[in-house]
Amino acid sequence: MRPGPVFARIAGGTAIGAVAAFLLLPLLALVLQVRPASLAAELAEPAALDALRLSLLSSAAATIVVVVLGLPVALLLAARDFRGRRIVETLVALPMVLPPTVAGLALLLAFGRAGLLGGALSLIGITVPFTTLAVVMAQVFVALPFFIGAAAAGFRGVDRSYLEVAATLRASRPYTTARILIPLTLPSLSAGAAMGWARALGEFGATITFAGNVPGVTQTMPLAVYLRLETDFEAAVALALVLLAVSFGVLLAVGAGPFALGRARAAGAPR
Amino acid sequence: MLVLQARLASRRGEFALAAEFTAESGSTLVLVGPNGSGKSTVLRMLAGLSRPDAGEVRLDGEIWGDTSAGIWRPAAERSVGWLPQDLALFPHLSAIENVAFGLRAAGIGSAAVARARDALRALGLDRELERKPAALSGGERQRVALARALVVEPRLLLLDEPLSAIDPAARAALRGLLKRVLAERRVTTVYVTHSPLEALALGGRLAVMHQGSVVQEGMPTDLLQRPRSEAAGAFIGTNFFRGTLEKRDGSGLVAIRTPAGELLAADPGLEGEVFVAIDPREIVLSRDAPSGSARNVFRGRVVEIAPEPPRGDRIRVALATRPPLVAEVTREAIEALGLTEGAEVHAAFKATALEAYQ
Repeated sequence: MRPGPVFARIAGGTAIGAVAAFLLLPLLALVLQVRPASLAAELAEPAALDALRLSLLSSAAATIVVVVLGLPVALLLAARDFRGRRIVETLVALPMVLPPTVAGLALLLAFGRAGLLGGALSLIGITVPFTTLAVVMAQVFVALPFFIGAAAAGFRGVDRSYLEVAATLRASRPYTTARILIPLTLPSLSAGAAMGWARALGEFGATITFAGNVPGVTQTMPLAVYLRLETDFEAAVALALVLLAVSFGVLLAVGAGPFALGRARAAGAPR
Repeated sequence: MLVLQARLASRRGEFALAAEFTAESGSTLVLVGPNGSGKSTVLRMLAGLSRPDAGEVRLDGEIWGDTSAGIWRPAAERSVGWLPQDLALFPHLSAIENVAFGLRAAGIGSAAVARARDALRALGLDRELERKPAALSGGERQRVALARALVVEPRLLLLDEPLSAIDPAARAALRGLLKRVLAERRVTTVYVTHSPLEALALGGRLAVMHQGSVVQEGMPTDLLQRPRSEAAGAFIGTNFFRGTLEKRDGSGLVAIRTPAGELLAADPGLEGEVFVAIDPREIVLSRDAPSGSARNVFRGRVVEIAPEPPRGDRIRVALATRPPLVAEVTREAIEALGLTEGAEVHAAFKATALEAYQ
């Protein structure tokens, strides 16, 4: 660190310490609260295992949908300027700032029994609310912007001369996208997918509003934690710790943390 | 007609491009000029990567672009090999896969790797083809990029400063390779460089660019002896003037009046406006007034003394004479005369050292 006035150093150190304490203290409290015995007992509980399984499966499904739907949108947003681009970008980012309960309500009004598409869907025998499908839909809704944002930024960071050389070699756009653009953007894509997945895993408000709280069907881990708070405090804490551990492990494994904080560098970034 | 014809005009802010040139099919045209003269922009337009405000590109009679007819084919619908200045080798693909890229994109699956290997071998690369570009030397990267462009058999090859990233020691060998390949393949090539030395070493036709325009086109010897613009003269480093032929006195000499002074030349048999070039090596410097037969003698201060690359044993001396002259002399001559910047000297040259032409 560069030597500076003592005051600046003290102020900086204090701020760093405050942030560290503020972020770590609640996590530490959670970890300290868990007794190993109750953790083991809770993990043997079928209802808890159901919630964990549902959370992992639904968030995995949501991540796949997010990547499949998000890639073309990210390519479009990164590739060219078009009229109304700012509007599209703002709409895509909206679920990030929308209160999740509002998102859930909006989904209900669109796909619920009395919703805009509800009638049409029930005609072909599909009921969305209070099903696992609704859980996945709620997660996709809130997770999409995280992936699209990261992917579009990654695509935009690829040096244009690679794509231009590919064009002079008469490669089609889809071929160049598959062999040059996506491979060079892989770090951003995997980080974006991991952040989207983490957001889906932690989804609470939209899920409980749109999908409800049916054990084994729509009761994901966050819902289970919240409900156990009223009945079995120790169980809630144990489940919370499991959720924390899974999130931390995945983010660490794909390196999404550094990316979210802007430290990642795309493989194809301009030199 | 088997030629490349290009006429390109565009304006981006302060920079106006208005370039026109032709190149015979199968030959190399060297586009040479200082940085910022619009050479790379011209290449991008030929490649179909940029579109001029107005212009035309035809190759062997085929229209690649004609803005007046609303045609400007994109790169994928032309047939060009483009080497950008930074090469843009795909960093995640091995050398061989970089070369095979264009073949695979064209749907040549199984034969792609073999053809890519042949293309690399033809350029003298046959080992470590599985390496990524970052693990290759500058010269190897250059060969991979060239092989990648050539393997798809383009009808027009566009090279943007292909030797600028190579260290000087390896440059001559690579330039030799390039010359040989271009001669063998007989692919129509536009070769961009800012270096007069490199332009002359390639030996092909030259087009000199200056501030967005082609100011002169021709063979190297013609350009060296007979520049036709101040830009071309400055670029090859010769003394260049515009003047008017004046009185003939029957002695076989004529006076040429330039805005900055009068010169005596052997009668070129011309009338009126002429260009004048004086090879800097023909100018002799001395402290005292020269007693020899030189008909042109000027006196002035030394403005600058600059050693010539690459060895610095030839020195360029800029003089504040009227007209202003540049002489090229040996280091020994400078030392013998004790020349320093600001010193007064005489510059002398024969009437026959002066080339007057129209």
